Amino acid sequence: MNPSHDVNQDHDISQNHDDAHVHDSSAALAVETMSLTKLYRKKAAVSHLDLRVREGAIYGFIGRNGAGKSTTLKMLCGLAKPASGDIRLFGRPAGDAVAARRIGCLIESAGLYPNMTARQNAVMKAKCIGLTDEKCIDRILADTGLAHAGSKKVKRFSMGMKQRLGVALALLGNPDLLILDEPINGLDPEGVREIRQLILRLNQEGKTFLISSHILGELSKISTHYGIIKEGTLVEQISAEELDQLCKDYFRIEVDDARRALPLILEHAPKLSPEVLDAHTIRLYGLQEGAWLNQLLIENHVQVYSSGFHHMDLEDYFLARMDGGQTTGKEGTENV
Amino acid sequence: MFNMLRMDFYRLIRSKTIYVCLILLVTMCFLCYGMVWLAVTPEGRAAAERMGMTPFLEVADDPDSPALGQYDSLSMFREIGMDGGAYTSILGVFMALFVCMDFHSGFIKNTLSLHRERRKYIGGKILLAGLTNLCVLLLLWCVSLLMNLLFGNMLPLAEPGDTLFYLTWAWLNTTAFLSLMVLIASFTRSGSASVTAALLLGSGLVQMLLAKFTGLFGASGWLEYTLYYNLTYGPSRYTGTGDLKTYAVSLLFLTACSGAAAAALSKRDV
Repeated sequence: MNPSHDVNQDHDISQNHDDAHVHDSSAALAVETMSLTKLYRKKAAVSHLDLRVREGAIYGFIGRNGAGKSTTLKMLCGLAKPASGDIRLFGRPAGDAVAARRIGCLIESAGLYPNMTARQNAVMKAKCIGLTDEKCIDRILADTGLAHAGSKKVKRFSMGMKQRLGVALALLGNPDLLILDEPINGLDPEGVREIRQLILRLNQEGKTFLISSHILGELSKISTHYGIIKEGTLVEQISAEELDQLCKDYFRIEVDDARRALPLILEHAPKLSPEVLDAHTIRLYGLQEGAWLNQLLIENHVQVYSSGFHHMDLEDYFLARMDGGQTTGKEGTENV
Repeated sequence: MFNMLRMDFYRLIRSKTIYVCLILLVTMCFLCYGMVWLAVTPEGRAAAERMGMTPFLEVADDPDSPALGQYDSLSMFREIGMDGGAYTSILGVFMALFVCMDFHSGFIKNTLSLHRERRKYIGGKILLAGLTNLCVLLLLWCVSLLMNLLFGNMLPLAEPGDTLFYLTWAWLNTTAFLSLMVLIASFTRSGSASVTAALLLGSGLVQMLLAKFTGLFGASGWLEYTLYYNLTYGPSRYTGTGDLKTYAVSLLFLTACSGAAAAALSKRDV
């Protein structure tokens, strides 16, 4: 990856990526699990998981520590054996050699020989795949910012460099699906940006990503779909558009009589989109500033109990889902 | 499987361990020939006396010590490291470390995500063991001949047929032992446990102790069916079909250990 990459280029990629976010429900599935279950000492680490990742998606797989993310990814990569259930990769069984060839993975820490250089580790993986052209190794090392690692042995690498090399190894063989478990762990901000750009660029080229990360803010910048796992069970699968809709900013106002308040509001701001929740509560989408609204209602003898803007991002949404509650979001209350 | 073999060879030639093993074996060969030269040749004895090695010469002159006339290049080769188990111990330690490094480094995740049939991984390792063993065995044989030449052709050369017969079954036997190491390394995934096992099993310590114990109950016959016993007491020349027993024992161990290693790797997650 070019360290002097232009920030505007990053923006352009993101912009193009947003265009590509359009949920294509007709796309074939890159990953499909049917009632996938994994037991550790009779305790279910993953329970009846039905995961669906469409081709071309960047699927953010999120969950708390010990929720079963890595176990699921390991099963997809053939490193752990499911107790029951089925895995299909590009429509083929998980054990299929052709399907396995289409996958690149980075699970937990990058598996690297410490006494070898970055290039030697990459050559090892290339030989394992059966690649004979070593030019692709240099290109991938350059893409991941390791072109100048030279004769430095992996044992002397920083955590971030190891992680980059792990991503580089996953990219070898031009896989169609990349399964990355915490790919930005240990990376500095520049490294995070570089990996993000790389993921977005490869996604533009048609590659599918299944990424697990705790850094939800970073994940929300690239993901087209999300899967939330809790205690081994898939709580929700949602597209970025659906999440945007759920997380849209709104102004929530609680009054003594919503039937009287609503016509007043719409008379003064007809472009707002209202949503009446009950006899006292209204949500208003598209409002930029709320003070005048409070004043308007009070002047017209409508009692305002509470009001405020609500904002929710992926993190809030995730935490709300983890708590099992409603996804009501963060509240900036302007009590009157 | 062959892709994994290519990958393993790439690592093997960049691994320090194999060169340490080779240096150890060559040093051992040199020391053995050097000791014999000091003990039995007039020039050697004179040199030993100059160095004050009188007790050593007394032991060499002991009538119970084997006479040099009983030896040829093959029996000397066996004495150097094969019969005592040094060769198997050294190569066993190498193989244990080589396999355990896959687990320790985590690189096995890269390998097994591509090659999901784990028996192929084991097959690749056994092939590597066999080929490495063949190269090292032949190299050691050549070094042994070279040493004989360097020390003034002290020993007569063994018959080519006998040499071929011995080297063939010794290779099969030691490859079977290395497959046992692959099994132990795959099962324990621990470098220290596997190295300990290589030293104890390669030197025959465990087998001898167990045989002593079971001998108390009149059941020590099983020792003849161990790799260690066959390597130490196996025939140096073909005299009859009974001599083929060592092939059978080695093949049985090779098959059983390969199968068990594949099963051990498949049973557990990576």
